[in-house]
Amino acid sequence: MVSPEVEIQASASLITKIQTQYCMLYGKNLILATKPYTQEFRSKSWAYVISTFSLLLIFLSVTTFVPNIYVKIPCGILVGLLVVRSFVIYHDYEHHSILQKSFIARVIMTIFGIYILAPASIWKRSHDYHHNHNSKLFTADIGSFPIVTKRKFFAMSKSNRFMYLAIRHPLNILFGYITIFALGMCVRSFLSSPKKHYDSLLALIIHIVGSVLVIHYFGWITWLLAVYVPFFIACGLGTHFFDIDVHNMLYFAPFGLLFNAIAFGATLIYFLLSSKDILAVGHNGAEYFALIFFVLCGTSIVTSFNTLLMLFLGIEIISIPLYILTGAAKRDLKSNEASLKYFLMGAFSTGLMLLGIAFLYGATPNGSFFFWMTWL
Amino acid sequence: MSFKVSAAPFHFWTPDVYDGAPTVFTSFMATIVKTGVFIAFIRLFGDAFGAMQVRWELFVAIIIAATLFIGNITAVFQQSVKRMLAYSSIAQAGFMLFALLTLNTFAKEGIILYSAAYSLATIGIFFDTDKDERLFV
Repeated sequence: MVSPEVEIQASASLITKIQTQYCMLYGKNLILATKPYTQEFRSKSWAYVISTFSLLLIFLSVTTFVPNIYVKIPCGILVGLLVVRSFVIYHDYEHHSILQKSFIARVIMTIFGIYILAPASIWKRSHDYHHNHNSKLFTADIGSFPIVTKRKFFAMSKSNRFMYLAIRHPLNILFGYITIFALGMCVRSFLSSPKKHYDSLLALIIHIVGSVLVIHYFGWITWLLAVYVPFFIACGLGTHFFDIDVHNMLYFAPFGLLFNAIAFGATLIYFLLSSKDILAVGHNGAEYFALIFFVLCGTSIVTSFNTLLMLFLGIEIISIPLYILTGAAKRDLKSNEASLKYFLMGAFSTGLMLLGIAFLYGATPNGSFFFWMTWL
Repeated sequence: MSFKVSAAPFHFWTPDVYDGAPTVFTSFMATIVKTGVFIAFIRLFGDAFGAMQVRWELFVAIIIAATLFIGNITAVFQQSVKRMLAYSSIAQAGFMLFALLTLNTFAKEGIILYSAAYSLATIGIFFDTDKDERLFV
């Protein structure tokens, strides 16, 4: 029988052992160790603020005033991307990490906050809450898009579930400028406490008046490109469309992602070059394209697999549409033969690969097959 | 895995399938799918079996030598353009397998670059083949 004191001593010695082994820091030491990183290079901050905001202004004015539509479209998209970058700076500023006690910075940031429909008062309420309560969140979400766990989702009432799904619906996120930012953030917070959030009303009024003025003086197209597209991009980019828990089955390393980019680019070029030939193969043009997209899906699984199971799944998703594509020219005897041959040999090799995978599962000591953990 | 990238002892299906399939799909198979499986190959052997490289090194070396040899020599005797391109793609697989043999960051960068260049070039040449098919076959 081990007495409790001995047990406590043992666990304490274990903790110190872990601390020394992994250089883990706690409490005050941890805060002191991060000190060197908290310094701000003010000139650098200013350089980033000025460059980003001046670029934003330049592109915004180009989109508004240049009549040529081919200039307008790329500029509108660039404005959207620049808004995202400025928002990152705005985020840091609102967290008091850069450019504190500067009057000019405050003016710029206030204007920007109104411009993106996320004024400082809302920030104080919601986002500061999230950072102040990092370890005791009552929901798992940050910002305007809620995320709940599966168990919580099933525990919700029906109307709550509907609201949750509606908010997370891709369409809603696509039109986030109107639904989330204008209605969700500004109108709602203003209605809840008009005194505290007077700047939301100001932002809304400025946005509506600005839109009306732009439409009146420059026409619909300019409004679409100078006002809507940037927010469309910015509001869409700031949120993840699909929040999927892959349970470590996939591992997204830069290597695989870079290749994904190349594969998607190559497919685009392939489509541009030979889409007419694809349509000429048979009567089911749409299906050929769909099958090629299935293959592409398999390719992106295969480049970021983390378990042998995922590897197998990816290879099968690649192979099966390929068997069909090979036999796409139904009237051609040669094509049929090729398809059958490919299918039979593919089935054989798949069987061999599965055998190998089974051996590996048997050979790994703890039966786990996350090889990022077991073999590294 | 060797089957999918059509490396040497498992390459026999390649010319037949490439020849039989409609040319547009052949070009897709030879480029994107093939390089994709190569990435998987490298990730599997590099990350999972990298620790025991000594054991499979010789095996991979033999496969590379056989692939390059068979791919390039047999291509000489081919009568149809598509069959020749199929053998050329077998030979390319041999070159790409070199990255698997060396397995360092340099090789990884190399294979990314190679797969991009190879995909572009092969899509181009198959597109051309498709246009002039009647002349060659």
